[in-house]
Formats: sequence, C-alpha cells, structure tokens
Amino acid sequence: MKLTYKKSIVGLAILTTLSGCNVLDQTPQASLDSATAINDATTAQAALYGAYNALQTANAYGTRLTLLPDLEGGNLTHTGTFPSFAQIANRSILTDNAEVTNAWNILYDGVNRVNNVIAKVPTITDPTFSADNKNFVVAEATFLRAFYYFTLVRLWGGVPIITQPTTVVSSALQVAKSPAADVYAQINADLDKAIASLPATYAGAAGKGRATKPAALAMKAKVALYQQKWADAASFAQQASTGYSLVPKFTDLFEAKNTAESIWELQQDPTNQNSLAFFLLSTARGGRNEVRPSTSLATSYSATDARAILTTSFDSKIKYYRISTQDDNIIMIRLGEVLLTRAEALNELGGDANLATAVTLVNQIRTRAGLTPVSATTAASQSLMRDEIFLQRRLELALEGGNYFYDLVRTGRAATRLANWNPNQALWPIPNREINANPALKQNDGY
Amino acid sequence: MNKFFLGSWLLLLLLVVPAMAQDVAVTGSVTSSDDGSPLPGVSVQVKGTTRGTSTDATGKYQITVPADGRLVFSFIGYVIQDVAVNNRTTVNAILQADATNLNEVIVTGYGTQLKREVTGSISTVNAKQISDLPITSVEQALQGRAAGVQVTQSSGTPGGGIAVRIRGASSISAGNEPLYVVDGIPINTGSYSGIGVGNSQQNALSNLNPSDIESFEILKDAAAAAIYGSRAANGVVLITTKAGKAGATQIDLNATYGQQNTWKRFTPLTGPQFDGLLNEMVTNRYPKNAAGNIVAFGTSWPTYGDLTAAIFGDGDDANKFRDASQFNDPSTVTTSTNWYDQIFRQAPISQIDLSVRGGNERTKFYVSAGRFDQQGIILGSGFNRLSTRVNVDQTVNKSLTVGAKLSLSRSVSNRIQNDNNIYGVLSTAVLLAPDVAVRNADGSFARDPVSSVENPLAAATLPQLTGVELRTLGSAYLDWKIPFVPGLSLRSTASLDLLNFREDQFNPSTALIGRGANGSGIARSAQDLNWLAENYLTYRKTALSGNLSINALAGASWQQSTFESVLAQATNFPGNSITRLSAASVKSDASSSGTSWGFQSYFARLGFDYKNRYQLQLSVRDDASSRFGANNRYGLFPSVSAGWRIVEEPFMKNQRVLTNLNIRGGYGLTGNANIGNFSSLGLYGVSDQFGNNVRYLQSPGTAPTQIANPDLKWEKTAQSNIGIDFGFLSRFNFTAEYYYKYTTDLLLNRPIPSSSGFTNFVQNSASMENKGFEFSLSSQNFNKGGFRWTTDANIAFNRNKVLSLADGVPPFAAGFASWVAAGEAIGSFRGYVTDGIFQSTDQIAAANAAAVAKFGTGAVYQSALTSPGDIRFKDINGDGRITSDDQQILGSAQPKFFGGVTNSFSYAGIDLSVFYQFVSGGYIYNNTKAFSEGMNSIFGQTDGVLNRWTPTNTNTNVPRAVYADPNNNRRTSNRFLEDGSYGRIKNVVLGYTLPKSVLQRLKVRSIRAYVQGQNLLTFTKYSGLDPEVNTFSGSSTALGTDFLTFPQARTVTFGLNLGF
Repeated sequence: MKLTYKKSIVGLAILTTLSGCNVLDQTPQASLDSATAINDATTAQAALYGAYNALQTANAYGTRLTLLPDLEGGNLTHTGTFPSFAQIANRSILTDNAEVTNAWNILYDGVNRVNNVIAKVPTITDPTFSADNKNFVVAEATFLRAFYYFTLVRLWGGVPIITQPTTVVSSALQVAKSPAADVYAQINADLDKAIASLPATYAGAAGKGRATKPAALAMKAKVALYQQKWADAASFAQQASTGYSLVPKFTDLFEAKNTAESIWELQQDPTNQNSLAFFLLSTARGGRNEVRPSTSLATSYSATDARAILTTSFDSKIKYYRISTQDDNIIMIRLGEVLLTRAEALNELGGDANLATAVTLVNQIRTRAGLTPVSATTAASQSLMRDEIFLQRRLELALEGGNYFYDLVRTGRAATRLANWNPNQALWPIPNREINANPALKQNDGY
Repeated sequence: MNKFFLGSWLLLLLLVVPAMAQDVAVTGSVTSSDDGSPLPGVSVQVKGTTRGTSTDATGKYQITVPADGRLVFSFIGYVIQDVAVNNRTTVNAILQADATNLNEVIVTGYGTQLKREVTGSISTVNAKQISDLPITSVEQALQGRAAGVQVTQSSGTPGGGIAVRIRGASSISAGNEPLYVVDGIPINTGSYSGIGVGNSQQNALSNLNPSDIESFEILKDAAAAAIYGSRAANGVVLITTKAGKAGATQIDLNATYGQQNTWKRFTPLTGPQFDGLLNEMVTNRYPKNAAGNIVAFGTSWPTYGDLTAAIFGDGDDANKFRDASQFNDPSTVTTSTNWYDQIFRQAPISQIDLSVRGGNERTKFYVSAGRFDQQGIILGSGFNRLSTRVNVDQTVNKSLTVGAKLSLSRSVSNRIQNDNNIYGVLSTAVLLAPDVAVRNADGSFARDPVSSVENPLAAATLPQLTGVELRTLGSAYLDWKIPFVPGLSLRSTASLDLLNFREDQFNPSTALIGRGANGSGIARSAQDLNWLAENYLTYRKTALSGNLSINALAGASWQQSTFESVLAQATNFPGNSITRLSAASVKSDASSSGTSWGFQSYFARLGFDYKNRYQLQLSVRDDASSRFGANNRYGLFPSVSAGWRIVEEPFMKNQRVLTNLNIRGGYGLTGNANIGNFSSLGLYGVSDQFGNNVRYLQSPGTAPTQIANPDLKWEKTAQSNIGIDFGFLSRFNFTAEYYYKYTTDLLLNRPIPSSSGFTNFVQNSASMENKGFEFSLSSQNFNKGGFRWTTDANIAFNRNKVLSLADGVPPFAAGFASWVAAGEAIGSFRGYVTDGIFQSTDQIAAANAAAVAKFGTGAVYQSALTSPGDIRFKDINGDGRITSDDQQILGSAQPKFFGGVTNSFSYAGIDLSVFYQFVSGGYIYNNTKAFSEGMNSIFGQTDGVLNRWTPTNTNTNVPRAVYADPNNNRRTSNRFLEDGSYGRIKNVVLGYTLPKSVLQRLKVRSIRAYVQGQNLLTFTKYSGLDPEVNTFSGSSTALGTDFLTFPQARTVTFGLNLGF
C-alpha cells in the first residue's frame, strides 16, 4: 500500500513535468510568418489577391470611397447616423474624421501589400512559377499601385510616395509629402510598366476583376485627363476602347455582371461582400439609409433618361441593389467613361475634326441613355460641349468611383456649383493621427 | 486459544489501566458569545498533545483528557480559549468573537497564512458579506468592500462585462484586469463571444456561482502577488470555494426572488414638440434669402413645412410619412410614443441554492447545486445559470491527503443588440422619433422610413441571440507529508478549466437587421482548454527553541491554454420559422480558427518569523511564456517584505489599549503578460490588420498584419507598499497603506505613420505610475444586551499618470473622447472647450473679421454657417480660428477616491445591514447626449432640448436647433462632459432569524427570512441613466463613456435561508 502511493506520487509528478515540456512552443494557426509568406506561385497569387482585396473593403471602394465623394459633391445627401458622414456632406471635415482616417489607412495598407508583391515575387525560386507568370503578377501589382496613388492624390493632393515594403520600424517611415506632380509621375511610371507587361484579357467573365492592358490604358487616359494632357488622354482612351462595346441597355451594366462594356470590375460574391447597397437602400428594403440620392441629382436627369437615379422610389433601381447577398460588383472603369474621357480630351484639344469626333462620342452615350443627339448649337461650340460632357459624366457615372466630385474640382466648377465653396475643400485633411505619427507631414491648407 | 485470548486481555488491561487512572472523559458544548448559538466544527485540542476532536452540528463534543489537563478551543473568527479541566466531566465553552481577526486564516498564493503573519497587502471578502445579495457575477462581490479595488459594471446587461482595477490601471494596451485564481487555477476570463452586438461584452466569470465561494483574497501589492510573476501586475484575486467540514451534515437551502426596474428614465419630447423642432432645425439651416424666399436644393419652397417634409418626410413624394401640414402646425400631430416605456420593464430575478456540507476526520465534502435566473430590465435580455459543485478531501493516512474539486456550470445569456448600434434596443429607444407609432394598423412594427434606426420593440423581440457557456473547473490534488523530513510536504495538482461557448444568432427578415439579407444567422462554437500541472514542496520548521518559525515553498508550474473556434454564417432564409442555418440558401461565411499560449514557471518563497515580532518574507517567480519574443523568453519576478509586530514587544505587554500594532512594508516586481499570443512575430494573415477577411475572385488572399518585434516582453511593475495596522480595545481595527506602483516597458500599440502600411507597432516602451493611500476600518461600535452594531469602511485614493510614451510617440485618441498622453491619467478626456453661445451676428462677424485679418479672405472663426445660437468654442491657442489644435484635456474618468461603508446591526434575531458605496471625482463623457440633444437630425430628443437657444430664450447653454449642425455644435467638447461622482445605497438587507426555541420544535437547524434592496438610492449630478457606466466595456484606455448603454437596475429581493 505504502509503496503504491509513493509510486503514484512520483508517477504523477513525473507525468505533469513531462507534459509541461513543450508549452513554450506555440505557433499561430491562422497566420503565416511574413518572411515566408510569399515564397511560391500560390502564396504570390494570394498576396496579389490581398492587394485587390484592400480596394474592396468598406473603407475603400467597397463603400466609402465610392459614396463619400458623391456625398461631398452633392449627388447624395446624408440621412443616416454617422457624424463623420455629416461632416463630409457639409464639407466641414474635422481632422479626426473617422472616414478620412480609415480611408488613408486602408489605401496605404494596399500600397504595402502591392509593394510586398513587387519586391518579393521576382526573388521567388519556385521552379513551377515561370518568369512570365512572375511578370504578370508583378505587372498587376504595379497597376494596382498606380491606382492606389491615383486615389490618394485625388483625395489628398501631395502624399508620401512609398514603393518599398515595410519590414522594420524606424524613423525612415516618417516620409514627407511629395508634390502632387511627383505622385502623378509615379502613377504614370507604374502604368507604363503595367501597360508593357499586362495581358489583354484573362479567361472567364470574372477575369474582368483583374488588371488588363486595356484597364491600364484606360486608367492612363483618365490620369492624363486630370493632368490636362489632352493629347495623351485622347490617344490612350482610344487604345483602351478596343475590344469593348457599350451594352445596349444601360441598367444591364449593373444587373448583369462583367458585361462587354466593363473594363475593370471588382468582383464580389456572397462570401466577399460590400456594403454599398446596405448604405444606400432604405430601411424598408433592408438598408441602413445612411445616404440617398439627392434632389439635385434626380432633377438633372430628363424624364426619358434610362440612367435616372431618382429620389422617388430610388432604391428599386439603383446601381447597387443586391442587398440580400451584398455582392454587387464595383465597376472601376468601363467603356462609357472611356468614351467620355476621349470626348473631353478631344474637345479640349479643339479643332473641327476633334470636336466632331467628340460630338459623335457623346452622342453614343446619349443615344444609349435614350436621349436625342446633342443640338447643333451645342455641337458647334467647344464651350457648350464642355458643359455637355461634364453633365454627361455626372449623369453617366453618378455613384461610380467618386467621379462627380473629382470632376467638379478638376474642371474648376466646384466654386460655382457648390454652396459655400472654399478652395481648401478640394482636398481632405491629412488624418490627425497621421500628422501626429509622422512629424514630417504638413497638414493640407485650411485644416 | 482461550488461554491465549485471556492472556492477551490481561496484557492489554495492564497496559491500559495506568492510563485510565489519570484520564477523564469530558463532554461539553461550545457556544458563541454573540447569540448563544452552538458552534459546530470547533477544534477541541488537549493542550500539549496531538489529541483532538471537533464539535458536532449541535456544538457538542466528547474527549478523553488527563484530569489535570487543559483543553484548547479554537475556531476561525473567535478568540482561542484555553480551559483547565480540573477533574470536571463537563466543560462548556463560550467563545468570544475575535474582532481583531488576527488568527483568521488567509489564503495566499500556494498556501495559507494567519492574518497576523501577513506582510504584504491582502484584502479579504468573505461569503458572509455577500450571501444575501443579488450578484450575477463574482466580481460584483468586491465592489466597495475592499480598499483600493475599484469595480465598475460597464452596463446593467445581465452577465455583462465588469471592470476591476486593483490600485489603478497599470497598463495601456495589455489589459488591466487582475488575474483570477480559483482554487489554485489561473482561469480564463473575458468575453468569449464572437458575434458583435454593439459594445457590451459577455463575461466568462459570470458562470461561477457566487454562493459556492468561501472567500476572496485580493493580493494587491508585489509582496503578496509576485508569486504569480508575469501575470500579477494588475493584482491577483484568489477565489476559494467552500470545502467540507467535519461534523454533522448540514443541509442549506437558500432561495431568493425579486424584481428589478430602472431607477431613472429619460423624458422624451412629445410628437408635437418633436415635429416643431424638426421644422425649427430646417428653418434655422435655410434662412430666407434677401427676397424673402425659402431656397434650398436649387428649388424654392412655399413654406418651411414643405421643405422640412422634403427632408424629413420621406423620399417618396407620393406617400409622405410626414407632410408639410404637420410641420406647419405641429399641434396636429397625434402620435407621441414614449419608447422608453416600451422597452424597459420590471424584471424578475431569482436564485436557489442547495448545499450539503459535512464529513468526519477522514472525509470531508461539500456538494452544491444552484440555479440563478435573471431577466434584464430591458426587454429581450436575460441570463440564467445552472451550476453544481463537488469538493471532496480524503485523508488516506496520517501523511497522505487527496482531494478533488469539480464544478460544472451552464449559463445562458439572451443578448440584445446594444450601444453604438442602429439596431440596439436602448439605442433605438433613444434615437427613434416620438411621432412614430409602435405598430402599424395591421399590427406590424412601424418604422420611420427617414431614419436608419429600428423600431425598439422590434429590436427587442425579433432577433434572437443566445450564448450558452459550459464550463468545467476541476482539479485533483495530493498532499504528502514526507515522512523522512518532518515539516516537509509535497503537493501535486492537476487542474483543468474547460470552457465551451456556443452562440446562435438569428435575425429574421421581419427585423431591419435581417431584412436586407432576407434573414441572417450565425452559429459559432468556441472552446478553450486550459490545463495546469503544479508540484510544490512546502516546509515548516521552528527553531531557536520555538522563537523562530520558518516556512518555505518551492515549486514548478506548467500551464497551457488552447482556444479553437468554428463559425458559420448564412443568409436568405425561407421564412422565419426555421432558425437554423441549414434552412438558409446562401452560406456567406464558414471559418475556423485557433490560438494558444503556454507558461512554464518556477517559484519559491521563504518566510521567517522571529518571536512573532519580526517577520521577513522573500518570494520569486521565474516565468517563461510562448507569448514573449525570442530575445526575452524568461522573466524573473522577486519580492521582499518585512513586518514588525510592535504589539508583541515586551514593552507593549502592560498596556491594554492597543490590541494590535503592526508596521509592514514590501517591494517587488510583477509583470503583465497579457500582450497577445503572437504579438512578437511578423505575420501575414487571412484577415487583415483591420479585421477584414482577405479574399478575391473566390480565392484566398493574404495581407501583412503586423511587424515583428523579437524584443517583445512582459510589462514590468515595481511596487512598494507600506502599511500600518492598529487595533484598539479589541473593538476597532484600522489599516492604512501607501503604495507606489511604477510600471515600465508598457506595451504600446504605438501608432506609426500608416503610410507604412501598418497603423501600429507593438513595443514595450511607455511608463506609468499609480500611487495612493488606502484606509480601512472595522469597528464594533456597540455590543451589549444582545444589540450589536458594527461598521466596516474603506476608502482609497489613487493617482494614475502616464509618465511617458515611446520616444517620438505622440499622444493618441481612444474611444470617443479619451486621450492617452504623457503627464495625464489613463482615461483622460480631450476635446474643445465651449465659450458660451454666439448671441448676435455682430459677435460672429467680429470673430470672423479677426480670422480674415490673420488668414486672408474667406477665413472664418469656426464655420461659414455659424449663426446666433451656435456654440462659440474657445480659441485655446489664440490663433484666431478654431482648428483641431484648440482641444485640451478636459478631465479624467478616474475617480479621486472611492470606497464603501457597511453598517450592520443585530438584535434579537433581527439583522440589518446597510452598504453605501461611493465613487468621487471622475468624469463621464455623455455621448448619448450628443444624439439625444443633438437637434440636428431625425433622432428622438430628450426634454433637455426644450431649453434650446432661440431668439427669445438666450440665457441658456443649449445651442439652437439646426439641421445638419454646420457649426459642429456636437463636436467632442466639455458640453458633454459631466461629473460622474456618485454615492449610492448599494445594498440594504433586513433579516429575521427564528429563535432556537421555535427551531427545536420544528426540528430545523436554522430559518432566516430577509428582504434586500439594491441601488435603492443614488446620489449623483450625472444626467444620464446611470453613473456606473462604460460603453467601451473591456477597454483599458477609453473609460467612463456613456453611449446608449444599458443602465443598472434597482432590485428588491426576498429571501429565505433554511438549514437542516
């Protein structure tokens, strides 16, 4: 008896001691070590998808960056609860505005994701990962980097340019703003690289979710428009148009996914959702009624316009409506916009031939929308055509990619179209937390 | 055989007879001096021998004693009595209650000590103090009862989160909750919920049954807590459950039932008042132009009612929810819903506990079963718990004892959406307009089509969210007095804390929260397996002819906790009758995850006590953890403390005034290892640093989530403590302590430029201090003629300050208005400062002119749309305009002092105890008011807005009503900061115990009936629903913020204690 319990004591003590040996070796179960996170074809692809994904998040184009510029420009009005939305609707934005802060954070997170792919993929030694495929992956990432910076420069103007992945924390992370012109130079350089390497298409309809050469050309044209490099804009827009056609019925663009008109379209599915419909739709339809189309936008459409987004019963036919699955794709660029880009560039270049082509392009858009061609008077006047193109961009692209607000600013119309306009409102404030964390940054004027 | 038998008998008699000649058989009974009641379980020892027994259930004993011997009667909480037998055969003893409690046994880490031996700072809360109170979760028992222990229920949510701060906050990011050790097991705590419902959290501690708890020991200083090493910086709460007792089996049945209700509600506007306000908002926002026309949105409007209806009617012109006429004449509005009355309710609370306790010298047991059931005072909320416990100790032989403690519990929380949430129940009751009816004519819930918020009654009744927590706490131990070395014993334990949390959510398509998805549901299951193996040796020895007693402890501990969870999410249900996900047509998410941590520790303690006067204690723990970075795997946490019991000195022997005088002090290091399981690694995740799932093209994606920091380690707190204990006249005991806690290597989620792609970097860098005084007093004010009055009081003053953040790390914001900055307390608020209200356009013009003079044309003081009635904010930096630099520290949520006072009275079977609890000097940021008095949009408003600025009501601090608030009157400012001090009669218990004579006739051991009231009276200036609040439940940095938070209830319960 005595012997037995002594043995059992020793046995228990030894058992507990042995079982304890490995408690210090624990490994994460849902993460990878960053050093080896991109080391073969599969992980490279996953990291690239991560870079696309940042654009879809709620603080990027998944909700905010699609809706907020339209709220700021007056295509939408604020009806919900978020004070941060109210500030943007009033164009009276405080530097700690959560939307502004979150957008900055996710966009630069995206830049870092892209930089990781661009830096690491060329060094991968996986034999099944061909040089061509590596080039494609890097080119897609390079295109995305251009797009991230294009978004940043439109919202904040000059911003820090970061092109290397972040691996350690040091004072080197405190990067000062580069002037907007330098940001545009970076964007154009990346787009040129992307244009050189990207394929024209990918297999399958969902291939429109990835960057292609036409997407890069279309983006290059759009960037040129913002830089008022009219000849470039016209030329790249023309190149981008090849292989795409306007869908006859405007609403098909949104009711069918990945149409022939779509050039680059962020892909959503029920397991990868966005909140666009949820923010736009009324509570009666299951939305949160945070924003809704404004009277000003509604009254800009003529009665027969197929594109009309009305305040009345607006939520039955709006561009984002799949409330139950929340998987509306987000069209980033499509032929309709490229045609208007080219029309605007040609109109600005001037000359009868260019003007005539511009009129033809605008009429394609008008006709598809169910409108009559532009009047002869308008067609004959560069200035009237300028207004017409601006109007068509608003009507055609409302609630898409924030175009209206950027167009108001870019064309100098904000001062006349927006009440109580102050030129400082053209840019958002650099988030207060960023100014605090980075002494090298200077706040934008007026904040 | 017979011969042999007889011979043996004779031999035995020869041996026995000499002993018989000197011994007498003594019987007697032991009673309490308090009320003459018999005391069971009193140890009766023959002095100078190991012979002893204990009294039975009726207080009787029987023992054989040398006729000239002495008997020693001892019992916890009573003065030891030493009685000479003097040839008597009946020796009765009346034990005096020991007001000094110096012989009370205190549980310390890995052992026990007598109270007089304690050199560290330990507070005790006993079962007796809390037995009649309606307590959902065990931490509530500590509120106001232990000096320096601040307990704040974040909300009144049944089973919700509770913040406990022992001697202030010592961490910014690694959590400030103490380590909870239940019967030796450091248990898992916190919220296991994975479904967001707003801010209020689930609380894993709520499934411990408070009725099973014998005592709480709170280890407050390093000398007491350092034995728990890298997890002890926030203090340690040792919870000891009830053990068996030798003696007659005692059966106790305790039952309580009661009702809870709000103690305060808001008064909302009526429908007519509200619609009038909407019209006024719009009128103020769009003043008539020079031509006298109302122009807005590029259109001219015939009346303000038309414009208001365009904004607040409904987008659909054909079917206006609100029309122009009701705005032009609000008196025509007939609907006035008081949403608070719809969702608040009188709610029952009940508890029934049955316990059986008994045993003999060899086997002791405690068995219990309990049921607790609480419905929340907000419709839809509730919590119930079923629990059982078995504690058994078995003495196998004189050197070996084994035992086991096992508890099983199941708690079910019915949770509701809350706080910062447009579907929250109280949230919507505040935010939905009063001119909306509760139901439509067809019986369906009415909604405001202009507003995003749900109908409160729908929010309370339609969605279902149930959390079921199963918890097994078990440990088996073995105590072996090693025969070869007297005084040395080995204790070996194996313990388990297995927690399973399962939750099911179903949002039907009839509720707004489920409407878009056509019904949505989540099923989630989480499991945490926490095991612990410990072996330690203890050694006790007296030396120097009994003058020096030595106790020593050395041991090792291994602990590992493995968490796993599975989640499935689906949408598009066929109807609302099948609520399981199998019915849903779209499976929108399926995932599983896991994480783990481990500790390997060695610990030792050495204590000396010389002549009961001079005490010295040393302790050390060496912790290694999987959480620490590769460069800092092992941490050493030593402590030293000493005590001088002056009262035992020879020169004190002749005085009768001081019954206790003791000075003690200690110093030591403790750590906080709650730094995240894998924070030291550079990681790529399948969800990003903001929590978004990373997916694209129906394929997995990855994203960088954190930067590696191989230097990462525990936070280190050095604490010194000095205390003095006085006892006067056996009636008053007073303790005063001063402490200083200096915490370095604070883990800081340091903000880095997010242009790097990361918003934060985790490093050990900041430092913080807490210092303060604690006083506690227990006094026997009166004890004569059966009337007894005692007072226990405590008060603590803590001053917390962040000393530094990392080099180059600027202050940062948390919560809505909270701010972390060097030189300020954690929980400080920062914002703009109001400077009255602009009364005239001249004042505004003057301010704007100054701005123009400095910044050029177009510059304004505040906003281009500032008008009379808007708040003027103070230009703190004096640059002539209001920018983000014009914010300053407005105050702190941390109180200047807090504590509690309990007065207990008893007379002739009647007992009364009144517990008053207070917190003074902290602020509350009332963000609810930013909405309920916002006057900017469609949200429901409270009656405070009736005092708003109008041209005829200018002497007010409430600004004008203006749609969309272009002046940002609602910005974070001292307008919403309020004094959060409060004092409340937390508990009153009035009981009556039936006299012995009646009990004997009923053949019952005891019967007591009582009535209890909780939160009967609250004294506060705070205008919100309750001053004990924090919407950021579980946050270390965002404190004292109220945002649509579930308030505390006032509760009245009736109870019955039956003992057999």
